[in-house]
Amino acid sequence: MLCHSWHVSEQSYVVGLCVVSLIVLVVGAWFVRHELRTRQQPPPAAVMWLAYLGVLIVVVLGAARTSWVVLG
Amino acid sequence: MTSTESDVALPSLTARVLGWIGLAGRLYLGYTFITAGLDKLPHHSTTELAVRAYQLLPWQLAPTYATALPIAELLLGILLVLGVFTRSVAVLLALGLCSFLVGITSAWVRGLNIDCGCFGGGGQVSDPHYLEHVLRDLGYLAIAVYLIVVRRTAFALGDWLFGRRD
Repeated sequence: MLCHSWHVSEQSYVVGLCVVSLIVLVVGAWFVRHELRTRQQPPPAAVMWLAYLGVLIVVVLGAARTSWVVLG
Repeated sequence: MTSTESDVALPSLTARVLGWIGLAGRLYLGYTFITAGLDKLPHHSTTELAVRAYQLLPWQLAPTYATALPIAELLLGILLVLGVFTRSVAVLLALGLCSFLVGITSAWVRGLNIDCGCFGGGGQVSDPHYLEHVLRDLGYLAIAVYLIVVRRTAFALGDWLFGRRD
């Protein structure tokens, strides 16, 4: 396992993963909202939020599944 | 040229150079995502297998993701090459690359031996190259972030379509 070879405890790895995932999602949401509000000709909002939703699903499930396996 | 003239010309020159670098980044990243989309699009079952190999998404979601991903990559790549909605596309690509990084590192940490399936293929392999894939995606992410920060790139169709003040 990666965390053994890098001498990082499982708990620290999971906390780091969750924090990074949360930052990605929050910053991503801010950027999408900012793009839609500040541009004179923004791209379709539904497309932007749908793409964000796809990313959100993968990131949340990725972090959850990884945490489950690493801590399990 | 007097010092006043050079002071005035400097920001414009800098912006122009940054715009040309942005164009190079746009074309490279766009070409990469178009290639990735085209490699996956005709091989739906292989892409679905690659998605399932990560063991992240629910079983029922994998076919939808395997269908949507190549189409999204292709469309975003084309928009990037054309320079339409460049900054918005770069935001979406950066987010997508973050999700790919989560997927690849997750497979690495869980000890799975799979191919990333980024440019077609995927599934079980004996010798995965996770570090290589992570570094490559971080490079793509750096280009996407540059496109978000630089705002304006040279030869962007969006500038002609929507004016240069968006």
